[in-house]
Amino acid sequence: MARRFPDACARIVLGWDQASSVHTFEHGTVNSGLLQVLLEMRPALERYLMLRGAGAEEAEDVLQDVSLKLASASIGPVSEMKAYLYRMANNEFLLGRRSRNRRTRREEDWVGMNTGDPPELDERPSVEAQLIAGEQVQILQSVLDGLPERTASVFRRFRVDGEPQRQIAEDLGISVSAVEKHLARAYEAIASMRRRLDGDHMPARHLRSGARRDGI
Amino acid sequence: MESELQDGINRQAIEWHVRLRHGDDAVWAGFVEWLAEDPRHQAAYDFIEQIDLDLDKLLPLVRLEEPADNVEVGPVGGPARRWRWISAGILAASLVGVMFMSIGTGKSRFEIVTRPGEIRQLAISPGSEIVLNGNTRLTLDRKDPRFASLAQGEALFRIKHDAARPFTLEVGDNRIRDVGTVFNVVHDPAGVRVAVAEGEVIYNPGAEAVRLTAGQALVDASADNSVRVSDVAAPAVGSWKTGQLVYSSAPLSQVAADLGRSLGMEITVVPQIADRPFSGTLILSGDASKQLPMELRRIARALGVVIEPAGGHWLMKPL
Repeated sequence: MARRFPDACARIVLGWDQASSVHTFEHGTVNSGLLQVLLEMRPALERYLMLRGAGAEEAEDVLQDVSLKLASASIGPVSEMKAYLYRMANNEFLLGRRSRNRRTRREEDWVGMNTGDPPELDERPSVEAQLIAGEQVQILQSVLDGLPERTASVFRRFRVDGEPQRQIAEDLGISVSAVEKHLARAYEAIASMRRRLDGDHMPARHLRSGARRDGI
Repeated sequence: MESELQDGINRQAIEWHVRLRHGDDAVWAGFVEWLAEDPRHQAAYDFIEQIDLDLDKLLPLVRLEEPADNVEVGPVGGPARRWRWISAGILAASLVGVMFMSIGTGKSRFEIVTRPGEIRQLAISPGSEIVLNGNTRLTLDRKDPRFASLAQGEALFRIKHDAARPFTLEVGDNRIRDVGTVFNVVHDPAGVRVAVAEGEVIYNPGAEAVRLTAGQALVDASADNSVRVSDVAAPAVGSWKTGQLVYSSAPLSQVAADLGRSLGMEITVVPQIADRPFSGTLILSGDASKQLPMELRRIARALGVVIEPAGGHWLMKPL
């Protein structure tokens, strides 16, 4: 279970499947409702992408990819169509960034080892990258070990096993917002560790990831 | 002031990130407005989103315990908790087939055997405990908590010092006497390896009497009669207990032996890379038995080698 999403790519693809709240799934049918909503939402999605730091052209590309996917994929009825399209646009945006970043910083991947990434020219990580990654794993381990048991368990079920928040809440007999609080606590612990690290070792890269994007 | 404001923004970014995962139309609309409010919001959200994406690569390498099982492995609690462990540990042990055997001196000695890949933690007296790695045989004495004998395998000792009654560990024909310490011992066909994390031990007090202090390691190779002392990173000593194997320029042959013990399999290294040094940390997942092929692939990648079945064992080869 823990290794169900070997890399970001797989998770992203799964992400929008999960998000779709698909009730029925008919092969070969295009969800014309979604295409219609996409047309109406285009300016809103464009605004969203620009707020996320995309350039005009990049936003255009992303939306192009979204509409291509919608037109070629069989997607059943979706209850929250706007949310669905936002999520899809976001995933396409990240995928695009990811492949672009890969081209530009192939040599210096922060966690560039042992991933399920498709093979690349530089598949074998440098010793240095291995050491850094090993260190990251150790630090992440200590952060997770330091979480309260309930928080750690909620985080594992959500982030590793991919259980929906509602299901976790029902199972534990707590509210969804209580589940959200556990998750926020876990992410806060991880983020503050990362902020400390970035402050120590690599000040610029991730804190100013926006700058890298703008420069593209 | 400024940083409090930033902390608030960071917290909001995380809350949005968590909520968006299953967010409906209204949540997304709210998120877009939040982004538009302040340019710092975008940067904060980028940061947490990137962290979450990076977790995809890191999470498969960390251990996340299933809740409420496992009495054997875990962070060390207070003394009371440790004592509960030993009873729970022994109970569990007897269920899974640890042998209690009478060896020599009356009936007070008993042997504990761990299966390959199993880790077991035992409190032998208040303040002293032993963690057994997989495929290990250790003899304890019910009447003498200051004695242990490691017939085979690896164990980490945390021993409370008692000047009047030093703790003695037998390793084959060798003896290790502690002077209040944390130390790790490996006993395999290649010989005896001792590494000290805290305090000090004396190796073979009656004979060579090699004194090892924290941050030092010793290799007593069975091939010759030499005893070599080297430096070791103290925090790395016994880190296998938490599923971590930490190396600094260790030969692949040693890495393979350690992996074999933890994963419960025999791994041999082809001669051409047996001495190739490896530096880094290998994290073993909790349950290797279920995930072995994946676990092996992951480790092989980290080592930059191929591990494949060869007859009854496994072979580590160059890529």
